Amino acid sequence: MTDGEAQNENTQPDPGQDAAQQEAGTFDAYRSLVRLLVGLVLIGGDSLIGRLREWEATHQVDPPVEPAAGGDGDSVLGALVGMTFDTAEMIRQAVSGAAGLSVTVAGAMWSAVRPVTQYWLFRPFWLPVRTIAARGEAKHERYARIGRSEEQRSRKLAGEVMDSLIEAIINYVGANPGVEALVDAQLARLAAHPETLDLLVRGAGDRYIAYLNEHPENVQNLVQGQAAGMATEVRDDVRTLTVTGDTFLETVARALFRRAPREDLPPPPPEAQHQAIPGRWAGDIRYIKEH
Amino acid sequence: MAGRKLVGQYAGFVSRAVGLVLDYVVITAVVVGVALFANLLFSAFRIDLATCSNSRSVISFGASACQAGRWFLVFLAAIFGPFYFVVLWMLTGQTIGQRVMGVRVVRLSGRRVGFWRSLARWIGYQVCIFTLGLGFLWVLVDNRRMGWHDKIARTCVLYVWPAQQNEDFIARVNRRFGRHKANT
Repeated sequence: MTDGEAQNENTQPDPGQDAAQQEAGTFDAYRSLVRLLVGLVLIGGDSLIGRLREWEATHQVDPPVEPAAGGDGDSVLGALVGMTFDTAEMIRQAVSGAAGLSVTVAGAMWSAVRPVTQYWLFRPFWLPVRTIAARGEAKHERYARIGRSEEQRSRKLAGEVMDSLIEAIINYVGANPGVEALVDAQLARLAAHPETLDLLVRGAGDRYIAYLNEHPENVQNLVQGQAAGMATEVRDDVRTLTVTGDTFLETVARALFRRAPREDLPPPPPEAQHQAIPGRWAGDIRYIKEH
Repeated sequence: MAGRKLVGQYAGFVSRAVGLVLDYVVITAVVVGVALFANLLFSAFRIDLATCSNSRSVISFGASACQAGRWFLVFLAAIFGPFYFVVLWMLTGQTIGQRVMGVRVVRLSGRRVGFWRSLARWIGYQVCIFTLGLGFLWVLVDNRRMGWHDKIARTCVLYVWPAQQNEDFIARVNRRFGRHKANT
């Protein structure tokens, strides 16, 4: 960039700065909302990373324990988990490698074509190219400047909003007569008979634990039954949708081709229909049992 | 929503197309799974399956084994699709996708779908694909909901579950598109 262009660039009004200055006098709801959202994302990201670090530190075993050798199932599961981690690492390395490679390739390309671009024939193109490059640099600097100032403001705004929101919720719950009365009543009851709660919790807990220890299959069946039932329900819903879709699409297609709407399909030959009756094949034994 | 049971009737385009998509998901998952497993296996010997470079290999015949592994993967990718369709049609008349969608391939004569009939049907699939799906779309207009592959193999696809369609919706659709009939 030439000195003249640089000066020209520097003397141009900075929209980001202008916006900040204008905002000192006027309130812009849209900009505040964007700032709040950015702040929430930044704070959320920070707290997530912090929490992950805490969890990792809590569950870190030092030195690493060598797990006991299990059966074939454990080995396959271990291989799958290992493969997942290995694949994730491979992707990270590939992305990093691709970025490095693209920079290298771009550098090499630039070096290779430089003798050609420096040729006097290309001189008329130098000025526009440099102007575009200078404009790009100026944009980048401007974004960085806005980002530096806005990041702090966004964090501060989001922090204040969250603090005031939590405070408002606590105040509302604290001042609500219904909640207050409920808490008071429960506290009074427990204060009068603390052993009641203690006995109730201990007794019920022991009973349920003992029952589950004695009949684990009931819980297993319940969970498996629920899962299978849900899967069957979803499958039937999808099938019903597609069966309806069959007729719908056909009707639309026939209308498009200006053919008369079909009233009823002819039935398949009885021999073929016989093959479709559930129970004809080994895989349909369950259907026969159910019906 | 009420309706008669369509078990044993000709299955339509959408049920069959969703089944076919599910089948291709299964096939892709198997091929990709085997490729990932092979990659894991070769990486244990420090061989890069992508380049077959054995500079860091811990076995002397690493490059040859890697080449063989790559050829195996190519072979698998080419052969697994036809194998999947032909074998499943031959054994049960249903692929996994068709089983999920509750439809089955049967012969018009009522006899079982054998190997050659299954192979003919798969070849019919390729014909349909090469005609940009026209053979599949033929199901929409054919009076017995048969695609070109069905006609080639003399098979049809039937619902094997007590299928019921949303009659209210279909009645609305018929009213909407029935006008065309009245106008023409």
